[in-house]
Amino acid sequence: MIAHLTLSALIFLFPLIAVAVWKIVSIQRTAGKAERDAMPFVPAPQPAPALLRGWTSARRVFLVQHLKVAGFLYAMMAWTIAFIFTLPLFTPANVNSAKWFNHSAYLWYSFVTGATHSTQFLSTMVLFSAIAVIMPMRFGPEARFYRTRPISISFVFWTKVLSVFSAMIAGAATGIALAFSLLVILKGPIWQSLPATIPRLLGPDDADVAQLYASLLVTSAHSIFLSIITTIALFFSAVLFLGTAPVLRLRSNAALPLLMIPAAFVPFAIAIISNHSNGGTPHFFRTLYICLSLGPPPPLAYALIPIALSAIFITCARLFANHQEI
Amino acid sequence: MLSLRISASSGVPVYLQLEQQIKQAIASGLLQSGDALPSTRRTAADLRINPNTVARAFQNLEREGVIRTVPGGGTFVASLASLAPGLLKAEKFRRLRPLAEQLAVEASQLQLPSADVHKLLDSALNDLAKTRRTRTPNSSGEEQ
Amino acid sequence: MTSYAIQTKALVKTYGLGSKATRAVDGLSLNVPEGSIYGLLGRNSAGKTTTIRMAMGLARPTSGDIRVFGLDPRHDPDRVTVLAQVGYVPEDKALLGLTPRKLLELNRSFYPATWSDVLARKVVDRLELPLDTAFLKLSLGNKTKAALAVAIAQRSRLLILDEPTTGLDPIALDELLRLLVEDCTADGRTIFLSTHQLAEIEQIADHIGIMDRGKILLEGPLDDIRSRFRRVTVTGAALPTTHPGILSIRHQAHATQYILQSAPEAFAQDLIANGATIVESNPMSLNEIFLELCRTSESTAADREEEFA
Repeated sequence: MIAHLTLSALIFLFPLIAVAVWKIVSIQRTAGKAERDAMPFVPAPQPAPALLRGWTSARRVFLVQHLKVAGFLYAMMAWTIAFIFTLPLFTPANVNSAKWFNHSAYLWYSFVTGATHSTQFLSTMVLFSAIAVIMPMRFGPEARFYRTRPISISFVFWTKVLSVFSAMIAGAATGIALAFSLLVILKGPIWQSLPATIPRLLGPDDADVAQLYASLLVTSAHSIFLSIITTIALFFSAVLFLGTAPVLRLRSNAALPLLMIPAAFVPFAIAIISNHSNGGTPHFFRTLYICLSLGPPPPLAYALIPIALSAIFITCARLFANHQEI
Repeated sequence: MLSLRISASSGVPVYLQLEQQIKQAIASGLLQSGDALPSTRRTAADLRINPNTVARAFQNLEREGVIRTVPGGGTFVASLASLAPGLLKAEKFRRLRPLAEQLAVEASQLQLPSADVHKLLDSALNDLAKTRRTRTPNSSGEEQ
Repeated sequence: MTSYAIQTKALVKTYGLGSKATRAVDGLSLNVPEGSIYGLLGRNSAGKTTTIRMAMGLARPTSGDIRVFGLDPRHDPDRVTVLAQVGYVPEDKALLGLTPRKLLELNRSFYPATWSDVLARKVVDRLELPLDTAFLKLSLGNKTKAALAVAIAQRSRLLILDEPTTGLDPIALDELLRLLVEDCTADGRTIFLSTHQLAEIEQIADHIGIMDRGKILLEGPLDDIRSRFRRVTVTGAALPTTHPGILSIRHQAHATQYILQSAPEAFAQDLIANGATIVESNPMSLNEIFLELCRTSESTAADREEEFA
């Protein structure tokens, strides 16, 4: 079990570490070469832009920078979700799977449960991304630099927020699609062939399996996937709102760690709440269309609530940006 | 070429220092008639002072006929020959009167007798004559 | 009709709340004419940096008005119009980007109309700025040089420099003055400097403003100010103790020393007419003027505090 976990962790981290190392090495190499060459300042002539010709070069440069970051974030998000979701497909048989009467049922159960648990992991990622968007907009040399260049506050805000926001949502959607496709390719549409009743007689030890299977049958995978997307949106915009609200009077990035430590506990708090909720997602989370466990999904209309809240939070953050002092 | 030393904190206005030093350079032969002066901006940059200050000094000097600007660029030291006969003795006395008064006040404050003041003045004029590099027939500084 | 690059009217900026509120800027009325080199002088917490941050739109005035080229630097779209014409060196020389070269390359895309690569190269050469050293490894002086290169190469209509001499050695300081005079004043461009370096200001500025405790004590053309101030040592009986032109009086063993701030000749003639003798009468350097003004302002404030105590 431990070996399996370690191996999966390594497989997950491997591309991330490889890219990071490659990036660091190439930066060091070009920086070293530049220092040795000591060329005078002769910037390369910029080619005429293919798109967005109506925009000033300032806006194009700013946008391109942020699209690069967004691209990286998109890849990371997609990779993380795809990895988490497809982990059950590659897990060897263990004690839990033996208890189940049907391997496909167990696989589907693992897949769906993995999806519901992913919310906790993802919320940490979303939290840090949101903080990483807010900090350079409010504090430090980067904030001061862009605030004193001739680009509008609106442009800076929307570029930063929308690039990260859409990267995360698109990354999550891509990850889910990839994982789901992989499941179908490898194992076929297993959710369609689940037996409606438990075929063999289960003893008293299997009571929990029976209960889980009952919940599994009424769980809607689509709702869970939608819930992941809306929860990412809700969480990101909530942190954005809190981080840009004028109440926070930090003077420098030095306070950032102080902010992150309590923030990192939020996902754990969510996990604890869901674990103590006596089966079924508590009502509060259902209203926000956050699906944390198996069971009947909330009505689809509820999905509009986190979407509406996200829109409100982001709009407020935009208004706060106008009043910020840097 | 020109080595001017301006002290911004000496109490004497910078433009005045500039005027005086240029006149001094001309008087002692370091600058001669027809020599070109650097542009206002160049002079200001070399001395690390405000260009408006230099412009003001140059304007004053031009009004007094010490330098002249040529349309099309270029500032030159005016020829002393063209300068001197243009001014009447009375005008020259009028120009030098404030300096003489200042000398008189300072001397009286220091309680220097009149004879000593005359000695002082003569020695200053002699020193100046000695530092002149070339002497043109009409530039002895004395007038009949 | 003079146009002003920067103009403030009764500008106030308060930090903190309730009883702990402090007024960093307290009714400031500043006027920086276009085309001038304006030096803003003041002690460390006089409010200079706060004023500059408000001019750049980084801070919001509590009350009063600040205009740059007649526009409001706080709200878009005027804000963008203002910033396209302003070069800025902040007090805190912490910089963005990896190396000075990268920062220069980044910044040039923001000012396509006025940026000059030639001037950038000139500044880099004259100040001896290492282009490819990472910012983390740069000394404070080099960070200042980088900030200066980035701002000067913009060739902006207004150059705002907040403590531009931090960490610069005397050679670099000299080169900076030369660059400012040579390349930053043509075509009616304005330089606004905030600094403690009175000697350098006295050399290149043509206008100055002396600020203390959030207010302007004195403002105007430097030559005018220098001609208005005089230190006069006088002996005699029945010497005046109050007169609008007197800034301060010091009694010495055998004489009285007056620091005059306006119409010194008229005062001197008055004294002579009343039988006093003027022992000495000297002009004052900017440093001396600054020290006298600040000390007088401090004692007036202390007196007022005592009154209300």
